[in-house]
Amino acid sequence: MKLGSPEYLEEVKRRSNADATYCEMIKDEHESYTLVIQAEPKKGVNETLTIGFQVDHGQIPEIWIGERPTTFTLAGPYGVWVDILRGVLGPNKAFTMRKLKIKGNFLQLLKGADSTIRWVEILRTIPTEFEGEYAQYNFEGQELI
Amino acid sequence: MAEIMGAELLVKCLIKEGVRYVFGVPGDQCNPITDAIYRFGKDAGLEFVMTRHEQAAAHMADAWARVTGRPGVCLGTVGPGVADLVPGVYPAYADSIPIVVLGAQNQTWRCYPEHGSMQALDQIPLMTPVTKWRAMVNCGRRIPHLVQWAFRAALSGRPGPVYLDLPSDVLCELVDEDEYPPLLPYHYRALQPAAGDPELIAQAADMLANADRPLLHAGGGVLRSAAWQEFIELAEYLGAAMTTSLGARGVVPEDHPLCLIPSSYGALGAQAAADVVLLVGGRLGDLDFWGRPPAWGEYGQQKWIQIDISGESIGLNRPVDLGIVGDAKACLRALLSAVKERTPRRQEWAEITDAREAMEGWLSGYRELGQCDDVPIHPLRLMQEVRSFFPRNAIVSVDGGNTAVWAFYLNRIYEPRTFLWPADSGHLGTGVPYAIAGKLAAKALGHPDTPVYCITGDGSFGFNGIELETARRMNAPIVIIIANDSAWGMIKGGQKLVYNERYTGVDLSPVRYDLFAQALGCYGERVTEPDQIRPALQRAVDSGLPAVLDVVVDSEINLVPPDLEILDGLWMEGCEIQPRC
Repeated sequence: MKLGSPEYLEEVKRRSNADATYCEMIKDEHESYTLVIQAEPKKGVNETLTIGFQVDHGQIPEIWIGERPTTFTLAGPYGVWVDILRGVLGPNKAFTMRKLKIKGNFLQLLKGADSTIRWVEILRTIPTEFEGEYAQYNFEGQELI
Repeated sequence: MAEIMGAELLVKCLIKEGVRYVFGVPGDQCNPITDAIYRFGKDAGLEFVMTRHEQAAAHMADAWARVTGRPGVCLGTVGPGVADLVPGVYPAYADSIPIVVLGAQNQTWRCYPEHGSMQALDQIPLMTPVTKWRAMVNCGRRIPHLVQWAFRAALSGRPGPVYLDLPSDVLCELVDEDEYPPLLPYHYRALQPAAGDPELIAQAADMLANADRPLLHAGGGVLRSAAWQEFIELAEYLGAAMTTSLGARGVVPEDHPLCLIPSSYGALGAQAAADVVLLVGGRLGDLDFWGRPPAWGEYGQQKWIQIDISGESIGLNRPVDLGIVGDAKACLRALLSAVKERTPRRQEWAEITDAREAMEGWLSGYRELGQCDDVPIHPLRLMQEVRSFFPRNAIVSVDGGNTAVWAFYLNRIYEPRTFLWPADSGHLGTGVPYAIAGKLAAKALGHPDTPVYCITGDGSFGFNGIELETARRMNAPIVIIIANDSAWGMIKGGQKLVYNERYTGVDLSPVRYDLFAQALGCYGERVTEPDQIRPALQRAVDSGLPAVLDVVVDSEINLVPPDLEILDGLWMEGCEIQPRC
């Protein structure tokens, strides 16, 4: 599935809500997030992709494409998101190291560091295709521990 | 008229300054000095500590200053001796540690520029990048003047190493001691450091009293100034969060309810959430993320007050709203009084609870691994066992790359001046010399029973491991714990992460460091099972000797501690590695 495609996002929602560990971790959360996956034309990624989702007390009820006001915005080049999904860059490290720019309460984001890691692990179970030069990193999806 | 040799005058000046040890390696041109120490030192309590390498001598002077708060002194002979001091002086320079470095030099008529004498070297330019002040003593009559100047320079403003170049003819020159007398320190340097401007202190108090989410961040200047009590008192009064730089660990007990362990998610989050930050005695280097968001608040939104003994440090890496030049202790004391006039004691701000939660979440995984029973030993199990064995007030010296990172997670620091680590230089090889000098310093401070231990990697131990012989000779029963992975772990880890496991120059032989220790008359034991760590530590202490526990850790796990990626990112910022194969 292509990263950011409607079927990919639907799969993200389905797998996230099916994971009891993740749902337990976010049971007290009521936040919304915007992820901005920035274009890198030189590497064959021509369009910026903006995705949003809501976390609501143990579930992700909605994922959408496009901009809406959210509690947090995380933005970074396409390649950084690829590195996170490949598991070569930790998600919390990505924003601590300023590879992802953040808008929103950094403390709250770090408080949820463990759930962020779990969520990325869930995403890594989804067979994923990347754009442009990053297609070399397409993966089939690995089993969740 | 009382004529004495220049070297004797030098030593008498050191005695007046209260110097307890001169650390160094002897040399022909140093003999006038070591002989004067022999003749005058014994009665005055000044001793020469012979080390096996000048680098270690400088590290010992450095650690002496870190623990006692008084300047350390080291000595090397002309040429190679002084050249070998340089790597030991550098960590002291990087961390603003006051040491006085003495270097023998060839005769005045043979040096500057050198022209063919054996071991000749133009030493002052060599010392320039690692010292804040330096001078050649070109005449015996100037010895008291320049020695006093050296101590004044080492201790004034931002402290640091200073260097005196001592030509052998000057050391042998006869000088009238009555005319050029050694003086007590109060005659030539201020014993009371500068307080901050009262008007600025009042402004700072207003800002802190009106803050909703104050945070106090300590740099090494708080340790140098012995201002930890004032720092904690102010934070407690304001209900402020406390963080420290990595080098300033120990300012606040790391289990204090308002303390957020440096660089933990809790600390980073609180730093970002605070509305007013008071930075004391620090410069915000890379390990403090340069004071930049997101590890700190946004520019223009978060208010900053900075107190520093040096005007040059104000706003160096992060713009401030109020800069105060003054001694940390004096300023904090004044600030506490001024704050008390403006606000009653306050409760901690609400989000500190969130920060603690984030920190605990960050720590919990490490604590879990600290119980790991696997063989080979998990590095965190080693750190957990070691820290829980020694009491809170133990002095610890930490050395190594990845070993230092692993130690950071579970080797908590509870008391000021008990954490010896070359923070801003990351210099390998400091561990053993720091521990030896730490033990000597504890004895000199009247706490001979304070345990001193060193956690080191096997690579870093190799730099100055021979100083175990010094420890044995000086009756300094330290315990050295080597996390042995037979590799330059941090660099190998970097090659694993970024260079696709093309390992180059990073593997060491599987050396038995316990047997090396035994050969030097010390206690040595190899440990391979996690449940043997604690009993082995007990046997090491019971031996009464300097001891080495050679602990075989899991070399694969040891390669990549959780935050290596962040460190690598900080150090290689802006450098995209693009291997062609």
